[in-house]
Amino acid sequence: MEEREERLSQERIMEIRYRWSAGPYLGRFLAELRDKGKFYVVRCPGCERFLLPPRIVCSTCYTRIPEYPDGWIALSGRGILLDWQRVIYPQMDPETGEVRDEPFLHGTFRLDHDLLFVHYLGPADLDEGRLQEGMKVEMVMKPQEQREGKVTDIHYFRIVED
Amino acid sequence: MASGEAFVVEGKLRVPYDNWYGTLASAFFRELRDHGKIRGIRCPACEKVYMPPRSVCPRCLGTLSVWVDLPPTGTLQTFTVVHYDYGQYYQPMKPPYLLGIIRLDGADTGLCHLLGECHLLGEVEQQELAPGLRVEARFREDRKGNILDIVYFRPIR
Amino acid sequence: MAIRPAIVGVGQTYHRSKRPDVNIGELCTEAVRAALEDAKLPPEKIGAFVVGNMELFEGRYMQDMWQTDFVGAVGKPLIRVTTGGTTGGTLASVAFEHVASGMFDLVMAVGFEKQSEGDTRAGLKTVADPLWNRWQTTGAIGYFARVATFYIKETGAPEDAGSRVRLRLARHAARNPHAHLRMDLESVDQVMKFPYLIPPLRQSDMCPASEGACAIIVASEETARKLPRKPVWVDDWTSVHKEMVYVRGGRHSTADLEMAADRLFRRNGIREPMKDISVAEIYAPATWAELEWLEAYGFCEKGDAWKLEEKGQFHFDGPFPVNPSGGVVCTNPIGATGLIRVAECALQLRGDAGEHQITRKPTRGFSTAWGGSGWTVAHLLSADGL
Ligand SMILES: [Zn+2]
Ligand SMILES: [Zn+2]
Repeated sequence: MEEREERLSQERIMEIRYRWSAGPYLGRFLAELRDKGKFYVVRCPGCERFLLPPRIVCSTCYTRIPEYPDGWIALSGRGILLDWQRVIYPQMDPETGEVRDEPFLHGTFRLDHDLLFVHYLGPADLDEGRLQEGMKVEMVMKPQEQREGKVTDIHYFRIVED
Repeated sequence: MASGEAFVVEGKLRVPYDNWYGTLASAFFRELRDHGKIRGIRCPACEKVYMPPRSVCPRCLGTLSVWVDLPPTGTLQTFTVVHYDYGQYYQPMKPPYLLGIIRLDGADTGLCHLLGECHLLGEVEQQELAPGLRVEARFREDRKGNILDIVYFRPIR
Repeated sequence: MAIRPAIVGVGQTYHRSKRPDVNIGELCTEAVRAALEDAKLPPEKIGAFVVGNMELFEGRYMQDMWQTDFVGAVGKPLIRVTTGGTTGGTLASVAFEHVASGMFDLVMAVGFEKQSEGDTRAGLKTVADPLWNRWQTTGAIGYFARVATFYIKETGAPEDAGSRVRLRLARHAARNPHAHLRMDLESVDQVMKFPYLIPPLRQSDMCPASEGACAIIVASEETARKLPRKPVWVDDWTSVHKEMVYVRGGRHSTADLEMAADRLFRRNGIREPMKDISVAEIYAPATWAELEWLEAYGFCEKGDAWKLEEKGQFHFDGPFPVNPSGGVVCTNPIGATGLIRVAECALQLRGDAGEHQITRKPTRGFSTAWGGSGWTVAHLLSADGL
């Protein structure tokens, strides 16, 4: 009946603050990463799998994982580039509501003990043309004063020339 | 991190939204904004007048399209005083404020709304309030097309 | 033994990128009325309701409070189910369980999404763990770009394999009046002109963000036999929750899809899925996922789906029709999407799908829903009188 009439909506920005408890496993992982630049994994005493990130119980054999430092292993931070994507689709940051427009490189890396990890590939001026599967990579931490106890304290992974 | 110390990650969500009123509620809010008029809607099958209006009858699931002009006057059914301050985003004004359910004359449902800004305008005191009190709507001057175009209800003096 | 459930009515809205003409409740009413009309039932006959969506897309929480009035559930049992991308599939499962338990004779499931009201990209990122990868995830598009990368690498599929899937689904959607994207596409070359989102993933490889709703009515066997519609029997259903994987590491990440299909096929004596099942409506949000997942469900050997696609095997009039509705790549109102798969399967098995009715004799249908990083819901339906 009023098809062509003006349709109203309510535009709003919902902003809610949170404080997430990380617990003794992820908390220790994030603290070690922030304070010492160390990247820890745990090994399940039951089935001997390496678990990334560290957690309280093995999800397949239900064995309790010991708290730090029992059985916690710091990775070397080095690995192999498996594949990468050039992210040209604008990303929205749910923490700020802002859209990140500039493209960036995102890679999948094989770290020690065959653990896979997805993260940024850098630095920003890295030439995508020279990337090849199997290249050696290395973790680059943000400067100490910029770290905030998040996985993004790892700035990016960079290519290591042979 | 010492043993027993809790590691807490601070964060937030800040996301934009745009919620649509739909055809029927848009018509209601345009009328309120442009003419300062309140309209309800009647279900002929259930013989009920809904305010706020809705396009679907919750009783018989029928389509509602019969508009009914309602006066800006009504009866207070119940009320409360909000003291708790939980942030500007979720509250229409800074507490304390009065909130009531008002059944407009000619409507079968009650509208939850503000009652006179007791702390700002003094148009109503909490002591005056009681179920059955006759009230009228005060409209905003620069109406925007949302429910706060009715600033509040106040006692008919 | 549990009571055998049947689908006795289905309904859906048309799906668009924006429906400013209706609010969320009104959108649900459209689907509810269509389902009641299909089942030829008045609203008061429904004994219980299961409703859901993925609320972070609209930023409106506890939607069940507002849906109750609009689906005809005032004063009746109603529960909300919200399991992310699988919401629609879980809605169907829970409705089946309500009936199978013997507690209710007629149950309605209603799913919806209204994605234009929020930001889907932001919404999906909030699914990621803020203690782990929320701050560096690239969301669904990044995920499916990796699926495409891996699929090409592991199967030797050509770069246009995804575009062939789009071409098939566009042809299907053109026959389905409810579909959202009804693109007029004639050749693979035409599809290959769509821009990249994240190479090798093109815009044409991804699902749209849709608004729409779907409802189904489920009845006990005894009640279903008395109703006017030919019942569609619900033979079995399951869900698989995989270990939370933070990183996609090749084939192992399709474990949930493999387990779900394997469990249903084993329990129901299905040895040759492509023969024993006549139609599949699978929840694949990207073209490349459709190929990879048809293999994961066990419909064909690993690395063969793209070859079968090239031969036109998956067309609605082909030997094994996949997503004759146009699938998720053409229509994705997230909270309704899994339910649409079930509803479309039911229409096919009843022979009521109209222009996109499969030409093969409909016997059994397989529908799925998928979400998060490791969650599959699967249903097995069969036609009446088999
Ligand atoms: Zn273990
Ligand atoms: Zn009515």
